[in-house]
Formats: sequence, C-alpha cells, structure tokens
Amino acid sequence: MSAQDILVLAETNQEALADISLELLAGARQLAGGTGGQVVAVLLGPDGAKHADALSAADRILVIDDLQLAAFSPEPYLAVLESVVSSEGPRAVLIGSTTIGLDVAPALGARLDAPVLSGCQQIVVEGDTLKVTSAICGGKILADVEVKGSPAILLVLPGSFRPTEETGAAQVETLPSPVALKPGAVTFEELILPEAGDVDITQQDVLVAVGRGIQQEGNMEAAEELAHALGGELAASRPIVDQDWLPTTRQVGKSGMIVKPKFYLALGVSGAPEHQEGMSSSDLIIAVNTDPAAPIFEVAHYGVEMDLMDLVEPLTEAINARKGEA
Amino acid sequence: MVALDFGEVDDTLFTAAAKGADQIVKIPYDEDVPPPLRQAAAMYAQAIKELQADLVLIGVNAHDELEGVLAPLLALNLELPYVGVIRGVKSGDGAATLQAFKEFPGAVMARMNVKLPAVLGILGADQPPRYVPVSRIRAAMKSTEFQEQEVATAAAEPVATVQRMYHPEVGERAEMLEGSEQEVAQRIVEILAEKGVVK
Repeated sequence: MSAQDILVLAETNQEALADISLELLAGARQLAGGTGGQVVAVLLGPDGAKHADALSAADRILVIDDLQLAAFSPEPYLAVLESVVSSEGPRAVLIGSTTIGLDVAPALGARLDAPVLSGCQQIVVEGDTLKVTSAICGGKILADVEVKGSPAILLVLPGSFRPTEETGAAQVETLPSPVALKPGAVTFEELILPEAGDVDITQQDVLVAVGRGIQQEGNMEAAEELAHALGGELAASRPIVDQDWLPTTRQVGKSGMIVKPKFYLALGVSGAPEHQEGMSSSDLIIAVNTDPAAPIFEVAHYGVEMDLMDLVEPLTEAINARKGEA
Repeated sequence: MVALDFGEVDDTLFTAAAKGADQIVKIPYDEDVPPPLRQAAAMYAQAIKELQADLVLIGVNAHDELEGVLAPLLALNLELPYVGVIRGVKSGDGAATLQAFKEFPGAVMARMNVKLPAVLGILGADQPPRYVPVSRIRAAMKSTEFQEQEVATAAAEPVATVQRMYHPEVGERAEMLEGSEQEVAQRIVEILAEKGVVK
C-alpha cells in the first residue's frame, strides 16, 4: 500500500453489490491514474468474497470477514474502517453519499483528523492537491474545492461516475477484523420491506412524477389523470411522500426507487441529485418547472419553463385527442 | 432546542416556541460566516452537555453542508453513540432504549435498537410536518425568552479551500419547448408519438 493509493468502501444492499460500489471504483481508477497508486476496495461482512468478481476494477479487494459486520451498524463499521484506513494510508477514501456513507464518513474523517468533503461529483489530482467539484443546495450550486490533507475522505454522489470496464489485479484478501468487534449501543434488528400491493413503479413504461411544484394535494388528481391518459402511473419526489400525498413505494430517488421508464415526465420536480439518482437513466425525460435554473433540466431531454398546473390539463386533452384519432 | 445564533435563526426558534419547545438555548456567535463544521460540532456539544439530554435529535442532509455532516461529528464530540438517516423513532423495550428506523434505498427501513443516551440524525419525520398559525408565532415572539449559553471553542480551520462557487450550466441537455400551453402540449404529444410512447 502506498500513500498514492485510492481506497473505496464497497457497499452491499440486501446481499447484492450496490451500484455505488462500481461507480466509486470507476472514479478510483481515474484518480489512481493520476496518483500512480493502486485501487483498493474494502468490503465489510461475511461472505463478501462472493462479490469479488464484480469488483475486478480494483487492484486489491480486502474482505473483512466478521459476523458483527453482517448488517450495518455504525460503530463496528467505523472501528474497522478507521483501522483499515490507518494501516493502508491511502491518498483518498471514496465513500458513497448513501445511508451508510453519511453515517461513517464524517466520523471517520474526524477520528483520523482527515479532511471530509460532501457531495463530490468530480475529482482530479494535480500534484499534491485533489481538486473536487461538489454539489450543494440540492445541486443548484457547485463548489470547486482544493484538498491538500491526506487521506481525503470523499463522500461521492451516486451517478457521478459510470462503472468502468477497466480491470485491476483484483487480488482478493479475506481478513479477520483488525479490531475486536462487539455489538455497540446501536444494533441492527431487522429490515422492513415496503408493503406489497401498491403499483411497482420500477415496472412502468411511463411515469408522471410530481414534486413540490404541485403545491396542493388537491392538484394530485389532475396529475394522476394525465398519468393514466399516458398509460402510466404517478410517482413522486421526496417532499410529496413526506406530505403523505403518495406512499413511499412511489418515491423516486436515492432512498426511493430507481426507475428507467420509456418516458419520465417530471412535473414541478427540482431535480436534486438524490432524485436524479433514481431516474436519470430513463429513455425520455421531459421536465416542467417554473425555475429555469432547476437541476432537473440538466438531465431532461426536453424542458418547459412553465407552471405545471397550466400545462397538465391541455396536455391531458391533447393526449386524449391523439388517442381518439388513433 | 439548541441553535447557533447565526443568520435568521430567531425565526426558526420562535416557530419552535410556538410548537411547544419548553427551553430554547442560543449559542452566541458574532462572525459573518458560519463556523467550519468541526468547530460548529464542538460548539453545539458544549452547549448540549450542559443540558444532560438522554436523546439528541439533529437534522442530516442539510443543503449547505460541504465539509461532511454535522450530526455524527456532534455525537463524537458528545462521546455518544450515533445513527443517522432516520425516518421514525419509537420507544424501545426498556426505558433506556428506543427503536430508530433508518432509511435504505427501495423504500426499505432498517429497525435499529438504540441504547440511550444517544444522538440520532433525522432525515425526515414519519408524519407530515405540522405547521403553526402565524398568530401563534407572533405570540411566541412576544412571550419567549431565549437562554444564552456562551461556549469557548478554538477556531477550526476549514478542511479544504473553496476556489469557486457557481450555478451549474442551465439546460445543458434539455431542449426547451416554447409557446403557449396548448402549443407546448401539442409539441410534447408529437415527441411522444415520434418516440412511440403514444400511438
């Protein structure tokens, strides 16, 4: 291990390798090309070796095999990462801006007295400096930041890097935990899956997603009529689910569903990075928003700067008229 | 409720008072820019230690956090256990435990058992936010007295140097559709027909 290496925390989600792991490896390969170091993936938990093939972009894959790491709880994860990062001494540690990463990365940085940056989208190396572009304010502001401290702990936004075909030496090292682990004050009890019975938005060809711009619950009906006219279903961004106007099973984004429909109509959705993460792979995206600076227009193929309620009814009528002609 | 005296925090604190906060503590802070995250965590921790709270709730995923996340840093400073990205909390089996529901992708929640005292990073409530009438906030502004808690912390250096902040380029990919509502609606239907979404 050298001070030029890039370390990646690989995550699993319900026993499958999380997409973010492959994205981070792609980012790490780019960075390692600049530092001249290796890419080291760290996977926590028993049976982690079964994911090694998928992590072939790494030069080394460290699997920390301990039953205390079978499910996420913050203290055991943090204790192991602190030990591994201390002993490996990498130039940077890439951690996904995920429910796990948000818990461990800041504390890891503080314990190691290492710099931490959130919302990282682009990372390049110039000499002894890491130049990072971070997204804040829901993606409406970008910050170009220079980090000199090492190791830099970088919380990387999902979707920032495309998984790479490039491979490394992929040498797998299955190791016991470097520190004695015991249950902490916070312990995992069970996973609670969403209730079955609602529409599975991941299987829909057409989704009409509503965001805060819908303004009132009473406006949801018009959006649903439009969705049905298109042969699709309603989805939503987080504020709508937080208001209980739609169930969590309809939420698109980081903590909701990842969808890839043929057509995604975003109505009054600002398009924060957390939302884009769930829908940016849709075949066709049309966004309607009154804010011309809304980040949703960065991923949309077509945009309309308009109050969504001014468009919903004429659009529903135009679609129904078209269907009547067909 | 504990808050750093920066920006328009009084509005938030009066709203908290109107919602029923029993005690409101303000940490004096006179600088023009907010403190670096690690300094803020140390300041909050000093004030909160005085309160000897069993449970500290703090938000996560703040839109302006660049140097990490405040919530786990606060827990470290308080030397308390922490779990974040929480969407719901229930009482636990014993008086000194609770159940916290941590959000995972796919509308999945993890039920976590938490021994108190502890810090929880709250992503959102499991119920819609409750708003209070402006009249009650105005009444709170007249009747509420904030308690001030001076804290002494060494100024922390930012962990990184911000070179530039800017808006991302707008409409880099989107082709903007112009015209009246009817014209735009018609154009969208044409696009959907071209793409085979509608017949």
